[in-house]
Amino acid sequence: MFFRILRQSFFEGRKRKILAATTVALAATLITALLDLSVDVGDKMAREMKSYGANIRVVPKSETVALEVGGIDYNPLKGRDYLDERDLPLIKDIFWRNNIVGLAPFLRTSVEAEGRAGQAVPLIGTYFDKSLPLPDDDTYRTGVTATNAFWAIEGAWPDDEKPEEVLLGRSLARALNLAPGATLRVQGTEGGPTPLRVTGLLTTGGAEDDAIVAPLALAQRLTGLSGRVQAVEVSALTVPENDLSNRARRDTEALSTAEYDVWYCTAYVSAIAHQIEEAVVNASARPIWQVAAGEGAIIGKIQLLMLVVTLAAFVSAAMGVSSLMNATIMERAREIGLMKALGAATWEIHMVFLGEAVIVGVIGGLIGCVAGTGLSQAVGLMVFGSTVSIPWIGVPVVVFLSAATALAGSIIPSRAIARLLPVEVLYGRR
Amino acid sequence: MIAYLVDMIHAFGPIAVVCGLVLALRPQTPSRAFARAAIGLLIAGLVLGAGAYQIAHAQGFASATRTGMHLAGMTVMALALIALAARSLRSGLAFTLVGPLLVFVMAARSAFVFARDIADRSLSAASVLNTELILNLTALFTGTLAVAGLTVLVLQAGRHAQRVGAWVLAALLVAESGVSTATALLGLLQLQAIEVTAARVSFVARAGEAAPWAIYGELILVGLLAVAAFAGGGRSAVPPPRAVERRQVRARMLSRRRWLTGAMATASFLIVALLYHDLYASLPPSLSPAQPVQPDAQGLVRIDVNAVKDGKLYRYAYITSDGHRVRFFLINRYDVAHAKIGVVYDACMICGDDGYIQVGNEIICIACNVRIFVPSIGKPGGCNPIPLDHTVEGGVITIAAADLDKGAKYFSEVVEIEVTDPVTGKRLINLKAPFQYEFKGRMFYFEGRESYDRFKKAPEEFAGNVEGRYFRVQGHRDS
Repeated sequence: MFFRILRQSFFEGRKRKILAATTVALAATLITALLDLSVDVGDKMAREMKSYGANIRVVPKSETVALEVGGIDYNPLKGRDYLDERDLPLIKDIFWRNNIVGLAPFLRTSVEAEGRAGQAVPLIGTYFDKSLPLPDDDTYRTGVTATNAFWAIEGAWPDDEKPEEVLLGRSLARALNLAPGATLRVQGTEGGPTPLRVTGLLTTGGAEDDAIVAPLALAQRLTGLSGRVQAVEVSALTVPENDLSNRARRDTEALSTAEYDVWYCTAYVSAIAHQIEEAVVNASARPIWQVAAGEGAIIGKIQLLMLVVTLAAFVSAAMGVSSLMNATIMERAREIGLMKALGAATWEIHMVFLGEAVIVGVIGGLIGCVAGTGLSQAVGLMVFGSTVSIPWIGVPVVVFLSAATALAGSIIPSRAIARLLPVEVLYGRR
Repeated sequence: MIAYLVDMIHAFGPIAVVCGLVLALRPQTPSRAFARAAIGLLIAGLVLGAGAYQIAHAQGFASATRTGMHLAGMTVMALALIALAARSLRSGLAFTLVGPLLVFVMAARSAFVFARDIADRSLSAASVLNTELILNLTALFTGTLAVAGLTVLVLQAGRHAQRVGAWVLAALLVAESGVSTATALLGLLQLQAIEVTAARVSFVARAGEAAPWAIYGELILVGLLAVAAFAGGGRSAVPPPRAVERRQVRARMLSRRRWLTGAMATASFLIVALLYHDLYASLPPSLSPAQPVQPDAQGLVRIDVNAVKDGKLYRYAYITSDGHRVRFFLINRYDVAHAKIGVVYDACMICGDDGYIQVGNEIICIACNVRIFVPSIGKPGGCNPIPLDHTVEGGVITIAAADLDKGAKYFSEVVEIEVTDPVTGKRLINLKAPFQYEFKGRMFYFEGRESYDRFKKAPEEFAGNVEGRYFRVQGHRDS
């Protein structure tokens, strides 16, 4: 019976209902667009946090001293403090040593290259696939081939033991017009001009594309910093982050002894980083989370703003629905009076009107989902330069919110139902 | 997602049923005041329980608080059972007093349990809104709706079938007070407030095993209560003569049928969610089968390198003379062209003998879910499998059965085999031997007390000068 009444009454006052659905759809469009953007980045971040591998960056402790004032870094030791190359095997000697897949030290400097007089060219010293004897494994080899597997080269990798073989970043190679096999003369801060042989061209999508990437020994010789490195990148097999590791990351002191033991003996990236700090004197180790540091940070900062906008859309749509509903109830007062006279309970009449509101809300929400998805794709293209993957989870959420909007808008007007007296409305006094 | 839903059902299922039934069985006279008091105390209890967990956890006495809560729960449930008995003797006063108190204490217990259960889960891995967060919130929302619905349904059913309702409440109180007793007893044992005895530990262990299944029984009871309250009946043999009355009877029947459907649907939904979690979603991955190995006449196990170099995990099992099942596995650490086989026990120094599985190219420790760096298999440390002594010669890996035997203590699995009493020489079945004694990590079985006592006095005499087995607590040892 209820559904029969609902079906018949639903097609009454179509114009007003279309208007209400449009109001809801507009709000839903906005909410969908914000939700799609946020969930897309959030999912990428969650995937990063839950992956089974992570990179850790080890730098001298003084690098992490925060001395930024007004966006300018006043840390006098920035770039002047170094780690000792002899300490590198210590990283492979921690409790979770077997989970460390590889490590690569870095020393960044700049040189003057011929053909580019007066302009400094960055030179990055690192290991490619260098032998690094360990106490329990004297055949251990490591380098960027293990840590940065995504580095694509055209040509051959240089030999770490031949400090004149280098890789050339693709953009720099184009600027200097050099191909693999060519020779390049450079002048560092120490020593005379040094001829380098280019074995390959490197594409990484990062700063390396504009730099010379050389064996560490060469970079040290050119700068006179023998035995020094600026940073070490460590690639480790980890387990996904969870609540315990999140708390440990904030403050290990806050953990109870039992929790600390569990954390220390689980291969969380934070636990591995902590053990590296324990092993290497004067070092600070931090996990590298690409998405979390990039898009995640942007969305994280504007999340509150998004919430406020969503709330405003919700409230304004509900108010729109409310005024439309008010008019409907006034218009159908006689019908309500008749239902009451026939013995319908107040809640049963409420159900008819609220049921209508929910249907209108759902229809509006579905329209809003389609429109909002289009909008988020456009925004994604403009802001991030790529389309946003469509999170299907957004559809039920938006439809639910839309139904709730319509429902919230109908609650206050439908209170008038209780006040209507059959005798008055049927008599035409109201 | 399912974990949150199941946590909610486990924590709040009992209090929903109790609250519904206490309200349904409320006394006739101060009915309104009673309901208001009960609902007020319900909310107070929930807030108190959740708050107590946060404070107790931060201050480091969560265990003591939990024990206290369960002790209080146990006491009040016992009181409520007495009050229920008195109620059947037409004295409702005791129940009027105890009912709201029961709701309060059980609500506090539920909120405490729930707060503890979800403490080590995180709603979301990232700080930005994501799919996982939405799913988890949906689970919490659905759980809240289901538990609230359960309360209303039980209330309605209890009002229609008061006697059955009282019996259901009594059965539930017996089950839940059993769970509380076991938990409180375990807490007292842990806090060393009472002495540890075999009977107490055995009770705690059995009750602890049964406790997670109590909720199934309670939900089935709810279903039975709904059947008793709403199914059949109501229809009088002779239909009323007047049309109005006939329609009224039909309306009543319809409404009863709707309540029955609602109750059945809710109870089934909760049971299906629980079953899905318990029988499927929460099961650990299972190990691939181990191939049994028998040492040859020289006590050596030989395995051809070519047979195991394709990068797959090859698991074997060896049964020691006292029935320990020692698992070990072989895996090629490099590629097929450069076969370097890691030979290791299927156990970890930290995590124990849950073992390792291969998923795709990854080797995973089941216990802690860490991915093992395959080239490092065969080295000690971290969560790596424990290395096993072996020699490689002419493309054949040779493992001494004596070395496998030394690692027997890394494994807890004991299979039924025939053993010899070292004193009398009688053959007997190890798991059915009346006496057993561990010496240097080896288990010896005896046919009677006499040979057991003789062995205990001078084990060397019978066992000979055997080398001890390794213990996990000793850590890795190079032999």
